[in-house]
Amino acid sequence: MYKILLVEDDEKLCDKLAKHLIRWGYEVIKIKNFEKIMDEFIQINPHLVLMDINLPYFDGFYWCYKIREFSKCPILFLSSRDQDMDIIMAMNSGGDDYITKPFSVEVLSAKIAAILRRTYAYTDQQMQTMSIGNAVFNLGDHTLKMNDIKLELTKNESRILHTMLLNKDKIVSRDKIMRALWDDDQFVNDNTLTVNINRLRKKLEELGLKDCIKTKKGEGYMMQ
Amino acid sequence: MSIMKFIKQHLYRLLFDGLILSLMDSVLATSVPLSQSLKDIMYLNLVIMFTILMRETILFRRWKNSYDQLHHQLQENDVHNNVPILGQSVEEDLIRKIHRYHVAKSDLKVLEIKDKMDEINDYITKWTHEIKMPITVLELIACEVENFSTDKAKELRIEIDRLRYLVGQVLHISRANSLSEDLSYQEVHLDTLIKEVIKSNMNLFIHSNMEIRLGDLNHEVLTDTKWLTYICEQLFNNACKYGKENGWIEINSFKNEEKIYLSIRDNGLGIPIQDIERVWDKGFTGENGRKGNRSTGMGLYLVHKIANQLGHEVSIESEVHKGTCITIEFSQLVDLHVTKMSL
Repeated sequence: MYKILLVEDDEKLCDKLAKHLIRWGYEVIKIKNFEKIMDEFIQINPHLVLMDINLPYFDGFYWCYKIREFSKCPILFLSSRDQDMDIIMAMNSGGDDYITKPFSVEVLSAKIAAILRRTYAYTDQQMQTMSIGNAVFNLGDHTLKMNDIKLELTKNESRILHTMLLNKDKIVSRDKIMRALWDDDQFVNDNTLTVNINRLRKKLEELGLKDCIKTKKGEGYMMQ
Repeated sequence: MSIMKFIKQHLYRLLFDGLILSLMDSVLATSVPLSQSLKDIMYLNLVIMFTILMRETILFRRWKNSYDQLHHQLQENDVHNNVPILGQSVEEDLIRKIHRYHVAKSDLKVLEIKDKMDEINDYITKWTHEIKMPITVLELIACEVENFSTDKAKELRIEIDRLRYLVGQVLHISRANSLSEDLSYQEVHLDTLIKEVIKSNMNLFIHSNMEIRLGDLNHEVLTDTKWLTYICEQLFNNACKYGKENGWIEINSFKNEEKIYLSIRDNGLGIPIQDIERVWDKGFTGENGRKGNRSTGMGLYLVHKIANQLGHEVSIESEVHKGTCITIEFSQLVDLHVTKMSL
């Protein structure tokens, strides 16, 4: 489990953020003493740091320098400052990426995942292939396989299936699926989404996976 | 400076000259031994009058010259220009003093106003950063809400988006005045930029159920990324706000020999013909604004202002019920490529 250190002095934001990160399967530690961030950093030894810029005592750039003196731990800046200068400063002081507040949760999760993947070079098999009943869904080449049958999925279908599988047994709203698609430069609208889901259902049906995507009227879809 | 003015200003002197002349004449006329020679008196009068005329002509010339010069100086130099009033006369000295006094006074006032503006601007900038914190928290709450009510989450997201858009506008208005200090030109790939803008305004598009049609955006333009992003954001927002149910927005770019054009077209309400001339005006909301869409009348005004400062032209075409098309015109990078190749 990846350990993420939150350096954010707004308690409310910190709490909410921690909650989400825990839900995505990370271990989260919040900084308590902003005067001695280094001590806590050394003690925790996290895999990733989420760093705010405006902090009590010293700013995020300072702590970034301090961490860089002896650690290569990836640092992701989170700030409401959006001037080019701040972003340049963040990168110069050793930051790996920069997100401006307010950010969408999807963007944050994507960036965290990307940085962790880059830094720790993990090839999580679970991320690449997922199982639905007896079938295997391969995220890498967008295919669905069962015994000898291999079906090609379109990029959209593959994204939809991936989102559904990540939220198994939970209702997934149409909004959420659309946001996942949009994150991938597929700017589909409501009608296109319906078409895509119907196609995906047909393909799943071909593998004998009938009704595995259930429609929850007015709420969205659910995969079981 | 005309002769009439001169006469007006020196009326008393001339009147006294006349008085002296008539007094002298009456003395001469009444004194017995001289009274016979009326011709002599006439002659004397003429000589004196001629002398006076000569004096006055010379004086007029000098008067005209000096005042013309002064007039000219006052007209040429605006109050803040410190080129001094020339000449050493009492008037000129006085004018100099008055001028200096007023310049100093208005300078002081300008400084005072500038201080106040800076203070307000500083505060607004800080405030917009502060307000982003609760917006971020709201964003996270919306995600939590989604787990038990997708409808409420959607409502929340729409409001958050509106909040975000308005906060962005505040920040951009406060910066737009000092825009020239804040520009950094780069070669920007339209495709990348547009896709980024679409993604960061994803909720807006999804909730207004807009179909996005992307044309050929494979062009590079020389612009400031942040400000062009802002312009596009404003235009997309308008397209969604004044769009139809199941509307579309089409983004296209093309180039000719001199220019690259980016066009953003929608099939929304359109702008009535009597309003189209005024859409770039500050605070102008027009007929569509009165229909209940909360318009501030700032969006297109800012677009126009910023685009002009960036050196891009914007133009608008619109037809009621058919839609609106806004085109941004960029100068081509031809010169830049030439220098690049020669390097």
